[in-house]
Amino acid sequence: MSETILEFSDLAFAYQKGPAQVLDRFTMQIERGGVVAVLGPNGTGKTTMLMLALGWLAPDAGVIKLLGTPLEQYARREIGQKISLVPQFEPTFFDFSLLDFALLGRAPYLGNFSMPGPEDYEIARQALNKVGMAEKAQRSVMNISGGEHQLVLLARSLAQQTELLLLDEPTSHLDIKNKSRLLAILRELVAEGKTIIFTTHEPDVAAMIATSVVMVKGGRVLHAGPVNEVMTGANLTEVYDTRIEAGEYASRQVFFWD
Amino acid sequence: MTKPAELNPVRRARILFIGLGVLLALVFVLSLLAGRYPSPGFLGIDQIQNDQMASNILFQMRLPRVLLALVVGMSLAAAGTVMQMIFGNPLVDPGFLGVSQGAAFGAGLSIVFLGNSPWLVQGSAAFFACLGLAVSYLVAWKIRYGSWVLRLILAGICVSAIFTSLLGIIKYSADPTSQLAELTFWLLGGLSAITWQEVYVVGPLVAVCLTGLMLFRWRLNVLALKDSTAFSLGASTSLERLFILALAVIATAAVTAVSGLVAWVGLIMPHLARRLFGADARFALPGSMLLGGLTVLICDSLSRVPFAAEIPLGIVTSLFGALFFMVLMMSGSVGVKK
Repeated sequence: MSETILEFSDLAFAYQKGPAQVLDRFTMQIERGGVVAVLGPNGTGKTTMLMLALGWLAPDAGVIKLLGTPLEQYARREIGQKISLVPQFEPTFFDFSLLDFALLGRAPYLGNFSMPGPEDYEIARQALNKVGMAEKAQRSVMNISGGEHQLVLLARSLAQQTELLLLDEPTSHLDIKNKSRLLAILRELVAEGKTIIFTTHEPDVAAMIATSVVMVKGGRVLHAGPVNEVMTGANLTEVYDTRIEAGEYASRQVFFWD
Repeated sequence: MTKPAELNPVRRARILFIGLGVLLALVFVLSLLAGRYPSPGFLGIDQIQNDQMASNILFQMRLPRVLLALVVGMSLAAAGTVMQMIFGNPLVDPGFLGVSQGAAFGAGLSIVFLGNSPWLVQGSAAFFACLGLAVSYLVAWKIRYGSWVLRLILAGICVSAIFTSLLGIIKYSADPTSQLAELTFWLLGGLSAITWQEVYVVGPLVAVCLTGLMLFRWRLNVLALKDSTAFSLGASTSLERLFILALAVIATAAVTAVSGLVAWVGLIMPHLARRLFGADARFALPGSMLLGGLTVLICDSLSRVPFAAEIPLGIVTSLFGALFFMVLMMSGSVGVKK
């Protein structure tokens, strides 16, 4: 029997006081060891949901449980050792080398006055290697492309060695080759027993990699379940208010829209 | 043809530290020996041993002054590095968050209304520098929108502007024949009045703050990231930033209280250090401190040695700082085609 890694129960959240809720009675259960794609229109609360899972935002109502324990009962560093975040984009103002940037993923394991040691360097190098950026380890993080930047953010998350990875639109800046590389990395991570939740606007990507799908609209879960059951044209049409049809090409699900 | 192997960054940093350390030691000794007694130039060993006046000047006047110049430079450069990283803004300097303007107001208040004894002026400057930080922090806490960093920046701008206005009122009401000149001289910065007393008070306080910052230096890299990212890496962002900021501001307030406003050091040294050592604060912070100490030592010597009348230190640091900054910006390795 699979174990629930993350659970949202009746979550409510608003950025400002008032009737405009970002999430409203949001309930979702994520099982350990799969890839979960979260789809939904812009402004529907997908990134907010990731920030709540991280503990960065606190819900106005409801409970978030990580491995069966309410999130607020964990210390900050403990969450950092269990959940990592790959933001969609992260502004960087200082020209860290890619290796130093990936090394920051070791922060949850180091005390405030500690310095990273040889083992931390080795983990950061392996993380860069995994995303195919090892050869550019001494390059400045400010002198790489948007796609490479997204891969370096993933490398930092890999250096964090968490069992749950949250990725916010991870393929948005990637070309086809790098998308393919990212999906391969995610498959490897799942094979290693990790759990991945990612938000996306690309149903094709979701269909290619996800084991289950959560469709969100108006701050609530509209449809959730295994990818082959939920990723239908009718469901996507309902979520995006745009006619979307599902088809199949070379044993792969593809989507068309007007 | 294969490219020559790049120098390992850690090894490169070590070599730079040794080079800078040796240069700093050399400049320290030269600053100590340079002066205008008995004539412009350097004191020799014979003079120090045989001339009581030369010995007194060296140990009672120049040594505390040179030591404090070192401390001022290191503190401002360290605080500048810390603040630029925490605020994610390379244009921030240690006077940010109302600290410099608070100190200036405190000094002005003391000179014009409370009395112009050095202790009173320094105490008042230090008190209002810290008050500047406290008020900026409280205002930032009350602002209801934007990230924590944005709120602090906005609060710092407002508090600085208020202190600037209040200082304007003090200047306006100061006696132009005596108080205004003294206040202007303080605002221009200088170390001419430094004795061992100032070193004994400021030295240990600054040593504690700089040691704390040095211990925290890798963590600074984490705190330089976006709020939510730093949080996801296990950082208690607000608390840790407050702690580090407090250390940086106390060091700044302590040295500003005795030296007046010494401009540009805290802005430029972090840039130069990042050029030499890279952005990693493990190397950039100590590198910036060494460069800051070296710069203020040189500028202070230039302010007192070449001319019979001493030039305020702030004028020298501003002049050379601005020129140097222009050169630094124009010598970037990344070219832009027009």
